[in-house]
Amino acid sequence: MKNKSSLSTKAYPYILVAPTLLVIGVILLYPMFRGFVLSFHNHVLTRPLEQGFIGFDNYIAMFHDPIFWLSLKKTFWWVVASVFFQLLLGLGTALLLNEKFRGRALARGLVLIPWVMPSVVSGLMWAWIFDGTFGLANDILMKLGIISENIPWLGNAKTAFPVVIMTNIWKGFPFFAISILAGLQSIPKDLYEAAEIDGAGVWRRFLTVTMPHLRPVIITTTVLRLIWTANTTDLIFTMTKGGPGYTTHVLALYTYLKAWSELDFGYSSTMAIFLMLLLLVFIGIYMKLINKDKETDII
Amino acid sequence: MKKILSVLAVALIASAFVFAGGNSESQDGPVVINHWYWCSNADAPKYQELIDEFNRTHTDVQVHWENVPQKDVRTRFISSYQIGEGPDTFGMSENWIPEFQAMGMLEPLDSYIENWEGKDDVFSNLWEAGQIDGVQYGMPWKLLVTYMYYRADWFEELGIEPPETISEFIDAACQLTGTYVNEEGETVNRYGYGMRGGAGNAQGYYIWCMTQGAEFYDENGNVAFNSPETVAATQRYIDLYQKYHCVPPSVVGDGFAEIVGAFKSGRTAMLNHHIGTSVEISTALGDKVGVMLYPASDDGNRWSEGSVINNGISSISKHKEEAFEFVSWMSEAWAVEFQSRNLGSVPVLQSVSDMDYFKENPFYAISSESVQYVGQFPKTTHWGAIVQDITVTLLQQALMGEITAEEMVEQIAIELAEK
Repeated sequence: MKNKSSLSTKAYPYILVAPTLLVIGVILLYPMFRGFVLSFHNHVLTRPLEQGFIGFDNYIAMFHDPIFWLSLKKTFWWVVASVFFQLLLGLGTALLLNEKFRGRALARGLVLIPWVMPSVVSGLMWAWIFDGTFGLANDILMKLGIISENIPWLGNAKTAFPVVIMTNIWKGFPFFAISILAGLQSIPKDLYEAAEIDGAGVWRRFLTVTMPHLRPVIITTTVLRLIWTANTTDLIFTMTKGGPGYTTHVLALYTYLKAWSELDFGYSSTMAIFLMLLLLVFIGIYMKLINKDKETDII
Repeated sequence: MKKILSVLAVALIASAFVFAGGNSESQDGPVVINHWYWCSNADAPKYQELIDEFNRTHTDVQVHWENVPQKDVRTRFISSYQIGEGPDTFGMSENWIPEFQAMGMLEPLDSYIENWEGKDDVFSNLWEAGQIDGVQYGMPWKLLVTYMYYRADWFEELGIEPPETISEFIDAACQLTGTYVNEEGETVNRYGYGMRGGAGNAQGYYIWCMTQGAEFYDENGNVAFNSPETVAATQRYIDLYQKYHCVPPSVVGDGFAEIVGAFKSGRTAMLNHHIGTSVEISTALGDKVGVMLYPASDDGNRWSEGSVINNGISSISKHKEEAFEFVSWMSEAWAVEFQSRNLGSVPVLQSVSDMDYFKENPFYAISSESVQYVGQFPKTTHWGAIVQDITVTLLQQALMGEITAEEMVEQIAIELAEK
């Protein structure tokens, strides 16, 4: 009787997590496993007769594909520039929103707008703002006398990438702002008072009190955004579809286009697996950093 | 507590089974056909009227139409088919038929058409667009032939005749480029030609090249696209942007909405498109707009694109008979006349084409005149991808000077070899 009860006690947590595991298994692990298997296959939908196991051929082709390398390079800049400026802007916004001023509650709500707006809507909105013929950006710059001729922002190799990165910064900074704001609010006020009594100025208080407490939030949000930004296709797809030429052609988009335009699911899966392995490195770094911060209450 | 939990779990699992079957239709009442077609916002109400008319006149079959955005429609068809879902019937561009057929998505229609009374009214040369290896997979529904719109008022002001040849076209485009004062009194930039350099740029590029002597394959089926004629034509096309500056500076990113918008708002003077935009353009510009044939090459060769939009039936539809009842109705006189008038299409039926309205309307007249110059695009499974994305990227790179005309043509030849 005792044994039976201890067995059911042991099984109880597993029963409780079973539904979650089942869902993760069905919607996450199985597709990942399928993707992994597909990456070793020739699987072009329009050529059913040629489908089959081809070993590492897709991987070899990928490493010889100049567009893959170009897309990887673009992904690096896309992720680094987007996340760095999102963090910077998010931190600044959070510090501002943490101060007391009239209309603060409203400002906190308004800041969230870019984040809650669907990516496709944001993409279309900014694509029209930067439209080369009718765009608002050109109109304003023209009226201010800064430019004399319309600039085709999204149709120019020099400006298209910065514009989509800027849109992504606009879209993603509220996530940092709100997360960091929550972090700021959990810092005990007496620490600031103690530091002030010890003669620490604003900058010193920020570096020695604020930043160490924000560290876990910043690490978590940065790693999450790195992963999301590397995986994202919707914003670029809506604004430029990777163009003009390969100007905004990031790896996640290349994966998507290989699958859904050329219907080559084998090669597309290969690139997706590569991207996943790359992101696992970031997750590893994240786990290591977060374990260091285990003692803090924030995580 | 445990008891409650287990009851809840059982209830949850049971409800999952119940809802999983929630889509199944009841045995009574009319059969519902799910139909997909892409329509611009301007056209959607008229298309809905067409569907409503079918539903009003049929009691045993009812059609539910979903307006799927054009740029997603091919992908959504394929992905939904792969998981055993999707519409019963759908409109499809000619370019997709080979790949859809290769994936087994399309129901052969020959046995249905054999017993369809309306078959002899359809122009006989239009059936081919929906055929693969002699098997009919599509019902001709809409015929779109590329011609040119131009601003007749500006041509008259400058005393220029509508161009007959590509050289005259370039001259006219250069002369029309500059600034002018619009009706609001603002000085705005004007460009001779509204080139499509962004999404959907392939058709315009291929018409330009084919007019000037390019070929996709030779008579033995070998790729013949990488010829000096194609390279020269490609260079001339790029020159419109790089050398003559007679197209808007935003050309590399300009898709359908941008080129039509620019023409309607008086930013460009010439535009190639088909009758699908005639209602929209004539509403915006009235009698300021004129139409002409797509210019010939300097030695008189003409080529134009004519694409037939077909309605197809999914091979996994559970209601194929009823689906055919709908798609055949769509290709019968009332529906063809309605959509040709209201949505812009050259009538696919002889009886509708003979109506005075279509003979007298200039947009229909120029379309009919252009039909004789219509050439065929390749019918390979890879062609869909070449048109949809590969050419778009290559032409953008060429326009931006990242690759040469020759490199672009060579790359397209490599893609064409992959049939």
